[in-house]
Amino acid sequence: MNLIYPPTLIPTIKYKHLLLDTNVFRDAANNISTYTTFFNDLKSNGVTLTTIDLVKFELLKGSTNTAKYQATEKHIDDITNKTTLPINPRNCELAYDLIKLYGIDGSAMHITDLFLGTILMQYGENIYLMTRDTSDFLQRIFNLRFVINATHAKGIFTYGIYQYTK
Amino acid sequence: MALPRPKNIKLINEKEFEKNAKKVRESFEEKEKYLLERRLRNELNLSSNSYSHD
Repeated sequence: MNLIYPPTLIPTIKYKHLLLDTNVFRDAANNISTYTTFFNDLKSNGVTLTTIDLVKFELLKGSTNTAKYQATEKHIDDITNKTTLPINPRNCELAYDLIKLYGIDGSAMHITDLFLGTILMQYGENIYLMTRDTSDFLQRIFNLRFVINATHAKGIFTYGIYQYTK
Repeated sequence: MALPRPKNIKLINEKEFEKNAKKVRESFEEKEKYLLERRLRNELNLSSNSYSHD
């Protein structure tokens, strides 16, 4: 597997936070070498890899035993250096705003994506989101700043790097 | 509110990461299998219910 991204990606997000969606952690468990290199390049350039508790819940729920729960927890911590952004009352207020902005397009939106969106709104130009769930982040609301293609044996995954700058 | 930053930015050790990821993959596979079986069971229930109403 290869990750293909524009050379301006890392200089643009240098010293900023990159919020990771559930699918990024899942893909990283399946393609160790590719993602280790990518994450380490980001970390070496001062990018803070982070997530929210709702993403952690999605990854941890359904673990069949303590060892697997702990392994998943370690997987998340190794990537994020235990940096989780808190969800606070401000995010709940922003969630209502976001629901209004989405209108009918929000009908199928997952709660986790809703809160990832509120984090982008809260921290504006200081944070970006990396997600493969590109249909839930509407470009009339969020700016699609970069596209990362991940080529693999059976096709191509596409990640969006989104920001909220309104 | 300021964005929190980690106290120490530790790079990922590929060997350790791979060793741990094996367990993570197993866990994800178990969950996917469980969810697939659950979905099939639900579909089967729905289709048998629809027959009962014919």
